Amino acid sequence: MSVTQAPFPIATPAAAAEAAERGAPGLLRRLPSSRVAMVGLSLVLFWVVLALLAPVLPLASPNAQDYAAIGHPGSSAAHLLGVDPLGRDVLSRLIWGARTVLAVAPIAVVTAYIVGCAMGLLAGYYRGWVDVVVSRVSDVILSFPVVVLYVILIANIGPSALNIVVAAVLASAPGIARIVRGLVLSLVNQEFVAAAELRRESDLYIMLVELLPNCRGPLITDFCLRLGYITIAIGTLGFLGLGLPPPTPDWGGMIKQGTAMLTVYPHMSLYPAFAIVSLVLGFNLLADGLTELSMSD
Amino acid sequence: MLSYLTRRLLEVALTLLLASFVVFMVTEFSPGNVARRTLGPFATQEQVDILYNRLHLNDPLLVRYARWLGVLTGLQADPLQDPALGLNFTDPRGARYFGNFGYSTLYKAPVNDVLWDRLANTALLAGLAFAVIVPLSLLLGVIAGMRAGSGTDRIVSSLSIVMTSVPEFALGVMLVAVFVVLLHWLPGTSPLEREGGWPIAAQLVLPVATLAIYDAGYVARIVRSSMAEVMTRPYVRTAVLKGLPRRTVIVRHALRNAMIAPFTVILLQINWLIGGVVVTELVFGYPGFGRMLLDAALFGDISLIEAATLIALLVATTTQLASDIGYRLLDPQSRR
Repeated sequence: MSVTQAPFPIATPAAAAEAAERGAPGLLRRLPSSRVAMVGLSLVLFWVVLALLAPVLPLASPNAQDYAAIGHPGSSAAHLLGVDPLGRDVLSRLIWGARTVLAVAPIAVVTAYIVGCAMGLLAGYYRGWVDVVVSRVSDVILSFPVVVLYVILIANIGPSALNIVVAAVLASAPGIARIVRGLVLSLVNQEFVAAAELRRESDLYIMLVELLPNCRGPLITDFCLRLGYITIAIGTLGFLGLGLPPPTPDWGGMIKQGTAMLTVYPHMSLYPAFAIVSLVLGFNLLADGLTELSMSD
Repeated sequence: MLSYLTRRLLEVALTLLLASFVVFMVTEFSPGNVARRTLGPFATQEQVDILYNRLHLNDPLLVRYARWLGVLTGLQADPLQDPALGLNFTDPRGARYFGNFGYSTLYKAPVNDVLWDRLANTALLAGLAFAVIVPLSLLLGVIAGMRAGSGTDRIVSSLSIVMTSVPEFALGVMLVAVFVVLLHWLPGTSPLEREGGWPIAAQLVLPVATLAIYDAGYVARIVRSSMAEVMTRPYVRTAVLKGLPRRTVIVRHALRNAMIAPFTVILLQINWLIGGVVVTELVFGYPGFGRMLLDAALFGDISLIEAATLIALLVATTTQLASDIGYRLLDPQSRR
């Protein structure tokens, strides 16, 4: 199926709404006016910049072991944030760990969004048996406590970056589908959809060009929240011993390894714990600011 | 209401059935794996092959699932408990009874001997956490939502957003660093035994706090927005304008309507708590259901994983049902 253009130029209500929206500053463009969102954005950007700069920063290799430092793992001139139980530089592993989470989390959320939006659009637009199947599948998956679902999935398919993405998509897509379906159901009876149907637009065009863009407000917020959730999920899996296989630097895994020395050298677990909190807080504040902005319309 | 109840009950039953199939599929998809995991890493390939044939593991997945359901419901004897196999999987309850979850290869005992004590420990932990979450989140949410946009609101809202940004494993580590390492006020592990002289109550403080704080922040946010929304309603304005004291307006008019949305959310937190206990119990070495589930999953103890996941699903779906019914009872608009 190809996305067909309207055979003759016609002013659709969707286009009119679009134009009106373009006049009023868009949600993302108004972002700087929300202090909460800007704090969140700077927390996220802090880690993004560090992650991007990791190869050029003067850091020890994240997996190099400094055996001499194991005896005195606290911070020193050679290791600003100290070393972990294996003598690896904590600062370097934090920054390289940011690369891991900032690569895996967005990939997982974007993939989950593609799957979830497809499910929600199909269920909301076609209704009938498609809706029944999609809703039933979503109900079944959403009835699992999330962590339990992650644990049994990863324990059976094995821990790897790809499998974490697969598990995250499986766990998140039904929730996204539910939101999109609800939004589509509220839009599908509106005139601009009827107009598009009258113009004989293909179903795909109606779903992707007419319906999906009109769902974007709540979805942008949900996207940020989900980035936070997935960051937590990746950390949780690492902490449970089901994360990325060692020696990949991974914040949850670092916290786990540090707990063995927690009563003597708490820094090994605390620094990665603060790292993960700051990143999740960033995503949450961003989502909060976006909600605030969309409410003030 | 009655027809609604029946319909919802049937839906829950169907969801549970489908979900149990998903669990079965995930754990027993590869039949060779089932025989291997049952016998452990030291069994010879020959032994694995014998078990594979005896258990008819080459049957299609659906047939094997039906057989598993048969064992669970007591319609069929558990083939693994057959003495002729020589596995020595003995269950004092017999090989055929309702609720037969099979034999745990990790604990070398029937699943029913392992499961329930740990579930009781977790119920204690989650129950206490819940007893903290509900009043704390209601208090925070109402205080903030009462005067949306005020200084108090900003402080409480920021606090609750920070609370929801600290995942259990990070929070547990931070709490241990402060209260155990720095202040020596509380024990860092909670084996629920009187070892090291710490009373059981002291052992429960940190796990409960870990579990409660993350969730309370989330619920408080929901309560806040619901409260803030209700405060803008015309009937609240009317109550204020007719000169009722602020206290009465909030307690009698606003609170009751503001609690409807959070009620469902609070009940749904039980689903989230089940996941939270897996992490929290690992942090504090708490002898509970979550850690058992994790150990079973890491070890590959098929029967125990299936049993534990099924219990978790049962709890999650029941609370979901309870929250739906409660919502209908509370919300005058859906009662009609």
